[in-house]
Amino acid sequence: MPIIVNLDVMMARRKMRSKDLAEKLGITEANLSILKTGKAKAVRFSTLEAICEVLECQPGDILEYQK
Amino acid sequence: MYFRIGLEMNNRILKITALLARFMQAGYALLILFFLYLGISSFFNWPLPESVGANSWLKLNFSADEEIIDSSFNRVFFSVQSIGIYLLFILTLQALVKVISSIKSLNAFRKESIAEFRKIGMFIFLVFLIGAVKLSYINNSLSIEFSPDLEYLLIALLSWVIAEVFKEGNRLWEENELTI
Repeated sequence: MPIIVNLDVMMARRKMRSKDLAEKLGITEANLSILKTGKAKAVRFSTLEAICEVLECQPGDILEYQK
Repeated sequence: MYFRIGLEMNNRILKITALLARFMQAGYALLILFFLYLGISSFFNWPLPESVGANSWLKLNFSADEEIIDSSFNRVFFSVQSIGIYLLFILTLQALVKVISSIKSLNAFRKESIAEFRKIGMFIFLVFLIGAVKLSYINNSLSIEFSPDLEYLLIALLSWVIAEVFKEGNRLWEENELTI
């Protein structure tokens, strides 16, 4: 898929562990791993909102389009 | 609120269906034993009672179909055919129970259910094929009767259609599962 999820980069920059992030987002670690590995087919706006709020970033920092 | 009521009703239906399926499996297993006796009896000259369990609630009347007990060939053919059909019925019910348990655990749209419905279709189609041909040997002449039960064909096709529906459901379910 040409949409790349750069969640691990942002998490590393904020020094946040998967477990803590999943807990703060209210999703399971398994689902967070699906999101990180790029297996996810869609992201809910509510999830994206929560990620941006927790990591203090913009959606563009997490998602990237590559041809 | 409404959802919860609906869920409970569904659960009752699932329970009844699973129970009936198990009961029918036991019944078919009993019938297989009876037909095994019928098939083997002609080789060992075992006595063939006119009716088994005449005084109990379960009655098997062999004298009703006289042409079946007329010759040993008929007996063996009929019992082999019946055992095959009942075995397929047992396997069908087993697949049905598996589907029901997958619905109970909210995993109805996994790929396994599609395979189960395809299996059910295949089993019933085999029943249709096996049951369509009837060989009988009476008065030194072999007669072949071909009378397909279209109901079985319809059930087989119906379960294949359900398999296709579940395939579509599986696509939607996977997309929903992979939406974070």
